[in-house]
Amino acid sequence: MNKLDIIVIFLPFIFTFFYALIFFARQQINSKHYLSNLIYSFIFILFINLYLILKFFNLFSSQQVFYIVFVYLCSSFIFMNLIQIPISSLQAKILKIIFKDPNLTEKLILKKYKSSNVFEERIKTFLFNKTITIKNSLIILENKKILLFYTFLKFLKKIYNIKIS
Amino acid sequence: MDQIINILIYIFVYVFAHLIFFRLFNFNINKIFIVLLAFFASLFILIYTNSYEILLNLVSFNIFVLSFYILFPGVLNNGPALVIIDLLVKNKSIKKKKLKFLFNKNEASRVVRNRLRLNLDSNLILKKKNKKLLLTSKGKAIVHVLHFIAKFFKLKTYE
Repeated sequence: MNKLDIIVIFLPFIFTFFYALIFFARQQINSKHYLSNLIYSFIFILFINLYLILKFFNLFSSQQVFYIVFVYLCSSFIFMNLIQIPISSLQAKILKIIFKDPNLTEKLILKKYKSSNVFEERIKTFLFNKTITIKNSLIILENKKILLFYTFLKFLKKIYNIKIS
Repeated sequence: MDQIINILIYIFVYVFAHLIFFRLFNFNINKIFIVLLAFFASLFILIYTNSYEILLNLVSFNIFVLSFYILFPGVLNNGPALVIIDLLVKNKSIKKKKLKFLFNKNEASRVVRNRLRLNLDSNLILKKKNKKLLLTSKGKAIVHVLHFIAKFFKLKTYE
């Protein structure tokens, strides 16, 4: 193994670290659009990644090129999920509720967190991050980026024979 | 190029095996045990072969297995956000009242009960004799980590 081989092993993780840094910087400037920050930071680093690969193309083998891109995509996916958990995971939210109030019982939580509350909260979140808008009392899906995730999940659910509704 | 084909075959075999087990035997092999097994098997192969090409393939394979492990609960469970998006895709513009009605009709409306059960089953919460719920040390650690992530990245969590 030469020096370049060792660098290649760590390169996708270094790119993911820079992805996290850029996302962090964007969040300090504007924390309202976290989803856009998450996606644009990812695309920006992906372009840098591809640019560097093209620039030094003759130094890398085809396997190394595949490795750098593939591992960056997977580790970025893990990072995106890590960011999503505190925002949208209900399982994590239940843990936080119990942490804040240790006197809660299962009945009390279910009473406090009825389906209508869950619905209202999700609508509030969607309105805040501009996924939906309300025009003339009608709810309209505004953010088309979310449709990418939706289509991907729907495709997987179809393969695994899991129905959404 | 052969090595790229190899890793694509490993990944395809893993996903295909998962799909077969899930659809035919109703068994989810996507468990932390499998992730760890893949990791330790890779470590063993790596020590045995001492090959750089295999190292790259095994890192790729392991990170894919980890990503798949994270992705699959989202495929398996219908979260409330996904159900709302699905209803909005099916009904291009809809009144809030009707959307709420359709949401409440859906299985996802019982999501809190399901997630609470999941937390109890994974030993993140303990039920005391007086029916009060308590976080286990594992649960507390998760809350602290998530709190740190939210604070560090300035994430709005709607509490």
